[in-house]
Amino acid sequence: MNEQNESLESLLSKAAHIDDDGFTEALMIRLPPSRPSLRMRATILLAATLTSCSVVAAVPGARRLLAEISVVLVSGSATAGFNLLVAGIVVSLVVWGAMAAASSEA
Amino acid sequence: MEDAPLIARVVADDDRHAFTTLVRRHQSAVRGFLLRLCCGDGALADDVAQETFLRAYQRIGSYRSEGGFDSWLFSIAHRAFLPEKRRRHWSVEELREEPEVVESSAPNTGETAADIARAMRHLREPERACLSLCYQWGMSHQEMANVLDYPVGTVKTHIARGKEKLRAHLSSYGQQRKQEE
Repeated sequence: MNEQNESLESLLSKAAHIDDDGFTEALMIRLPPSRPSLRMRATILLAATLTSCSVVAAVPGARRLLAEISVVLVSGSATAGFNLLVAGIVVSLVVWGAMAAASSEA
Repeated sequence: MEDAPLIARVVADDDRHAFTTLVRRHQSAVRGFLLRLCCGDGALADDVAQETFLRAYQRIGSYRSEGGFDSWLFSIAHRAFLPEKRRRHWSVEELREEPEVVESSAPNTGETAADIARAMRHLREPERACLSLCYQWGMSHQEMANVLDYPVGTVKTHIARGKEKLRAHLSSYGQQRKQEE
């Protein structure tokens, strides 16, 4: 029985090497487009943050908008809150689009 | 170069060259494992292997080095194979008659790698998976449990049952050969 076991296990342990035979090339063609590296993503985020800060600091209208937002947040008005939510989604989509565009160029 | 620095380069810089090296290094093991799961259907095994490496590329950031890169790939391969198995409603009768097998020098019992491949096709998928990982890739029960997402006790049962069935089939092949002689 032991001998039978050894023979079975020795047969099972034989793993034949499989040649690549174009497998890797075929796979590399199917890979999704390059994504930006971590460094690039960090750079994009930093640039976006700096740009936002500059806009807020430089444009008087932006300061007023921020003040409005803080009022809405404090007052808790439902309509204004909804408008703010929609505006937030739109801005997020715009930023996401910009990031996607940047990543496809990277 | 070892796997870890290559993986780090793929994660940090999306280094395609590093990923190519990883695929070339591990394709044989993954395709061999899937060939066993797919009962020798090389085309299907390669399709699932492609899907495996695509998923590995997409999720490489989540790879943790505890179990080794091979184990991680086997785990993805097994998960990629399961829907295929369900979709095809495989049964032994539906499988192709002769699987693709590389002949090797057999021990003195008269059994060959072709016999093993033929007998493996009569096993249930979890039994094939456990036997392959255990003997071809030398994994421990715990490693197999992690890869296949089964409890350790279940892994042991699949191995024991799988070996029992294999022995029975191999013995019947031996008898057939004797009768033919």
